[in-house]
Amino acid sequence: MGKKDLYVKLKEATTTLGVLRDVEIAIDRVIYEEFEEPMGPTPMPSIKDLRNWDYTLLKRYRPFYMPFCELCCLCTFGKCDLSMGKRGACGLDMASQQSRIVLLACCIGASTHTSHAKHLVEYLIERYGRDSPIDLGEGVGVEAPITRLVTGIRPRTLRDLEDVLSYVDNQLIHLLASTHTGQEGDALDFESKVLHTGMLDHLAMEVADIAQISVMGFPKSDPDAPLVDLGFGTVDKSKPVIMVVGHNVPSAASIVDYLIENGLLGQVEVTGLCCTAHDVARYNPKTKIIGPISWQVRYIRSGLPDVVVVDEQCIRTNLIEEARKVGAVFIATSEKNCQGLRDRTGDSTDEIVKDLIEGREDGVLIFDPEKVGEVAVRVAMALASRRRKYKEGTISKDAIVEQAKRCVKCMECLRTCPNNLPIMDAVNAAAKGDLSLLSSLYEQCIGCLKCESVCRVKLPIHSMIVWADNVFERETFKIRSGRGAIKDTEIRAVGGPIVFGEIPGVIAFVGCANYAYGGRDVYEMAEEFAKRRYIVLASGCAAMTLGMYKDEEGKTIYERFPGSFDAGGVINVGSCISNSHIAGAAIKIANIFARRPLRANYEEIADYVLNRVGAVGVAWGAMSQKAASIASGFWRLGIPVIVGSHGSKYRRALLGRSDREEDWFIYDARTGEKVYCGPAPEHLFYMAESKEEAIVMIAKLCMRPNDTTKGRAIKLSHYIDLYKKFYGALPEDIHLFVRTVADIPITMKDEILAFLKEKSWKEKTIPDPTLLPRLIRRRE
Amino acid sequence: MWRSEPWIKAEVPGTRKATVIEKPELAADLLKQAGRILMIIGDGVSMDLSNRPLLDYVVEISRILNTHIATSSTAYVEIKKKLSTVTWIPPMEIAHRATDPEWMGLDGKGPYKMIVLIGLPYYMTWLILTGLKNFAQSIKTISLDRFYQPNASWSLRNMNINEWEQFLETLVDKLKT
Repeated sequence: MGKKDLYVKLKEATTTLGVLRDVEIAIDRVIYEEFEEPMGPTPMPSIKDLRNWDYTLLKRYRPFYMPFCELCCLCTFGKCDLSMGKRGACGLDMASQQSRIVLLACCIGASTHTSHAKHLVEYLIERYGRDSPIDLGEGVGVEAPITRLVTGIRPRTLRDLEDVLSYVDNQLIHLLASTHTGQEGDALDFESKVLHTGMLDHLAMEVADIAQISVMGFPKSDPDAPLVDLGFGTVDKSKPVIMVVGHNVPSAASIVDYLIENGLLGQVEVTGLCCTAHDVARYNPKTKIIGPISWQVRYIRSGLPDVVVVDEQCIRTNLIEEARKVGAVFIATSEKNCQGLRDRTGDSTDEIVKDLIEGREDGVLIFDPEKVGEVAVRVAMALASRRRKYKEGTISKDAIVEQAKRCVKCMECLRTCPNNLPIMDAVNAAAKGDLSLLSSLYEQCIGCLKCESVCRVKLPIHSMIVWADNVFERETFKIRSGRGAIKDTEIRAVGGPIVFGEIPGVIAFVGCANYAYGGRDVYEMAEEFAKRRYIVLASGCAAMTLGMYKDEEGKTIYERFPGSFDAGGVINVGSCISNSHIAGAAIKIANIFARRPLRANYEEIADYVLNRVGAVGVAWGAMSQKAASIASGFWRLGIPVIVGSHGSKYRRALLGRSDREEDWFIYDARTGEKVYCGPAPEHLFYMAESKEEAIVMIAKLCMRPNDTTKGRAIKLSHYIDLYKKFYGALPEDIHLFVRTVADIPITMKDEILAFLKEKSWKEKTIPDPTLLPRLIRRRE
Repeated sequence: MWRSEPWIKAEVPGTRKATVIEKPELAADLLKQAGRILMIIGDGVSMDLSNRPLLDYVVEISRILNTHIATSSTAYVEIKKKLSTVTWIPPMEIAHRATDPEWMGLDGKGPYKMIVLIGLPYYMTWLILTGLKNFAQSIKTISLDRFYQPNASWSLRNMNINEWEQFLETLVDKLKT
């Protein structure tokens, strides 16, 4: 479906009614059909349209609620105590309230991506034109798998993306409305709405990323996207430095444009954190990525950035105070994040630059990206030499020792650190001259600064940890810049091996950097599966974390493994919004490899993915509401997600019960018979305590009912091997996953057969699996 | 006062808070009288205390009380060498099953009357306990970690490692008698 403006101007027309002069006719849109695929059953589904599918999932994967708060304070009836079976004044019980809060969180997350997408598409239309084509590069025919699947629209131009976002807006309003007092009252219906929100979130992310890829010159589905510098140690301290942070790239891109237009590229360091860093590196690989979001305060405190440019999302909200402490200029660029600053958008660039250089203002708000680009560069170049004192060292080791002596041992830091780090012991050791314990906390410190906030003597604890051994300053790595989508040609090549199980799984490491034990866990998990020739995908802060470790030869994971969507590949798709390409790849497998109709055919494709595509998401440091909505988009599509231990604060898991045989019956599409398929995949949303537990669970969750015997044997061999590696024995549930003797890995045959005998195991049918009765081809 | 506040200060609970077990004798009595007990243990049990590894205490408590242990910790390997009543199962999964009143336990012999937790990250225990408190009300819970857990039925108070070890030492002695 396409939509066009029509404008007709007639100077003079003779008609049967008479002569018409100076007639102007304007029609906003003419809708015409140019999508050869017939419309599927659920174009632009409303909340109710996919509810049956949601209930099918939720019947198997039941919510386990862990109330993070047992009270409700959302209306003036409250506070209401909902604990131990009580209901609030509105009638809600604890389960409904928890699911309601999950829905609220997901609405926040999805609205944030949608708002991001809207601002971005508006900007790109203004700059590049409404008729700019959607172009994801060679080898990509299905340019927008989520958009096609959900809305039935095949977007040709930026204009078409506006229609997609209008649908998302509309749905989000209804979803948010359902959280109002006296609306939805059923926990599972709230959960269904959570899944709907997640689906919309993926749609908005896809719109945002395909828009910027199409017109901004990003890598287009390129497995050989350039390697980019990563880490503080890669920054040339002798040059003026601009720091960009956030998620919405136009301002950062305009900085690069200004540098190029004025022959200054290479003379100013453009450095970034979080997703803006990903995207500006996709825009120009000469820019540098400092690290995940947790690095933002330590980077400003290094004194290196002369100018700090913030856009939107996940930015520490008092970053401006940190910038002030080191005399750096602060530029806010988004109406969602104005920071109390004066709007200087309408003022001349010369005036703004003068005010900032002369210190009349230390921060400004500018909504025009081009103006931001010029102001940031000119101010950074003027200030760099003046700010030399801030760049020559932060807190010295002697100063750390002196500061440590001021500790009053009140334990407040211990009792606030989310990772329960032994901060007080480390500070007391430092007071005696031993900085090793402080330094050892660096890996696990997530930079939340809560310790500093509660410290009674205001010790700069974060800085003391970061500069106890200057690890930060030695960080020099490489990351492959975000490649964007997966090519149709790649999907054709690996679709079969994935669906039949010969490529044992597709593992996506996504999300934020709120790690309980440091980023090394994520790196080690990714490396483990890449070596085992799973396909490893990464995005957002997790993709940066993967790049921040080296092997014995000094190579990062991106230098060791190819960037192609193939067994043993390690693929950085890009920023948060590039997560849509991960879901998109799963959808494309169903469409391109299996030839399932795509257009507005959500249920069938999700059923295919759940039962056949061994994909698992791992959000080891998930922190935000956006991460919650991203995860829920994966769940509805049938892709399980594992989060780290802090993820338990999302207050609800979606767990299968492998001990309840009746939960695991599906239809054999060939016969219509209901057959036991085993707990595959066992869970939909699950929190792991440790890296070892997660690794074993990832391998297990890759199993799908459709696996061929060869594929299941490969998947089982990895699952068993990993379990033995960490737990020294055979897994206790193998009998649930072995369907026929041919499923048993050949090298483990005797051992497993003996185990199966103990469990009175019997052979089972391998079905053509589906949960949808309408897909049964023949009824017995 | 601080000893019976949540260890992480912002982890403020609801209106019903755990009763503090001041003395190991009380913990021993509660455990002895509990009936069928399940222990959920985390990776933290692999730490060494000054006299013995923490895992020794856990195994001994389990052996004396004939409890089943559920864990996904790497300590599983060591426990398996000493006890047959250990099952590898993630903490979230086992807690979820416990909320099902018809679930017959890991050994199929009937629902548990009490769940004991030790060795998981503080916040994870906090959340599992609030899940059990609200959705498995027939099950009593005890936290044996050295930090006050407000969502348990009973919890130790906040204490240092030496106090904790002494507590566990005495608890094991009292359970034996």
